[in-house]
Amino acid sequence: MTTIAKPAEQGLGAAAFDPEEWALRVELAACYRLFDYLGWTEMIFNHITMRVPGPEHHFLINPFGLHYSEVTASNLVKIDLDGRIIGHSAYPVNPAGFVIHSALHAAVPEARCIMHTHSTNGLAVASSRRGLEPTNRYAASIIDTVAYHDFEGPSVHDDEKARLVADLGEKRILILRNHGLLVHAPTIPDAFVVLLKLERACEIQVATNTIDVGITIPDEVLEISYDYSITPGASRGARRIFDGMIRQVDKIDASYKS
Amino acid sequence: VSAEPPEHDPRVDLAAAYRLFDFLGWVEGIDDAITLRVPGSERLILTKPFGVHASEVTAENAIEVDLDDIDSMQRTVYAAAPQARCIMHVHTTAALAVASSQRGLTPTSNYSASVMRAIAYRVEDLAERRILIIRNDGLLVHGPTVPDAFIVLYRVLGACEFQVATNAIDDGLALSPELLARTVDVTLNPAQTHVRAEGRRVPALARRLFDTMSRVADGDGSAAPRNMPR
Repeated sequence: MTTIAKPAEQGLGAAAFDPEEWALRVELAACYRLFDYLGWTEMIFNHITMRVPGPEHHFLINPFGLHYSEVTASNLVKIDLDGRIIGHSAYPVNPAGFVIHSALHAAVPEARCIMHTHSTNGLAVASSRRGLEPTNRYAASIIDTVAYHDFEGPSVHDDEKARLVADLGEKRILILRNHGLLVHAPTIPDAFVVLLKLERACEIQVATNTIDVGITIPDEVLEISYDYSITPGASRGARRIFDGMIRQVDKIDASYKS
Repeated sequence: VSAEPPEHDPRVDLAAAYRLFDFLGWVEGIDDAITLRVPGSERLILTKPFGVHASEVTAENAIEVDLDDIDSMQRTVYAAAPQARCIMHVHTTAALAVASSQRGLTPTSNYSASVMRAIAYRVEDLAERRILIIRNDGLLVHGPTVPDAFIVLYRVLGACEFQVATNAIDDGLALSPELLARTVDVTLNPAQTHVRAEGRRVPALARRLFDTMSRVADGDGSAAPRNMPR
């Protein structure tokens, strides 16, 4: 119907990359497809970023202008902390959106993977006065690791970076007020599972609050509800969940592996 | 003067926009309207034939009609905003919820912040503003091109959807007037088709967004449909 071209495929394939980097590329591309499958996309915007192995602070990010459903292992773009492209890429990156990621990647060593979403329920909680409340089992499992950062305007300036890092502290989840959700973890599956619980917590809170303020889970119950999967190193469960979801993605379209 | 931008066939843009609306869940039945002024003309309007569903619109079956023969709301908007070349009018649930609420759109998300100064509640304000919230009825936007209208509509429909969900919780954290003043108004983006970036001539953001989403909507079905504000 239209004359709009398909995305240019680099078609480099596994042979063009270090094996460890290639494995991460496949996993990250799968994760982009999984976000699309779950509806956690925002047209051509937002990012999931993953640090590649090695002493350099180099990261894989989605090519700007492509939809998450078009991301492949080959067309992911490798960049440095300033958003400069390392090596060749057929696509640009969106440097404006990378600023929050780079601030946290630079300051938090275990934040190798960072995910950021603008889901409806995530934005609802982020834009509410109340914030996330311990009124459902998902919220209970993560509320201990939630931090907040106030909206300071659409573009992040250098002085805001320090406040982002300070606001995050030791937590894994940063709720960006009036803006969206952000999680970090050492691996892609670990970050995914934290985000999954957070998205479910937000979704259920929105639905609960259409009824009333909800039943607050008491502190003594919260203490035993904290989820093992958000403890660094306990990632076997996360891997199992992530792989199970990727099998669903593979049934639809496994072209991200190229 | 740099090389002239490539022509975008208005019929292709119109058909792509209708298909994209269908993909995003922004249509209901046959009553939704996207219209454009035919390039070079003030009175000729390009639109879909009545009775054709958004998913059925093609570059070939789009029709040209006189301004007097279109929907009266759209005719009023073209009169009030002579610079408008494209109008998109929707009745999504979230847009109608905001349009039907006493509060109207509130500055509680970065989405609403980016369109707040472009919101009008009266047609006569559309010479200066790009978005009309029609009380109890729906929402429309106008722009200089199809992609420019689309990017504004996507922002404001997002704002409506987020507000509906936020207001299930409470009245939301309102952004300060200072913050709003510092937030770039997405409707102020120039209607360029191409910009220079990294030494290359690349499509401007609105065009790039529109082309990518049209490609996905028109694609092999692997993208999850209807995953956006609606």
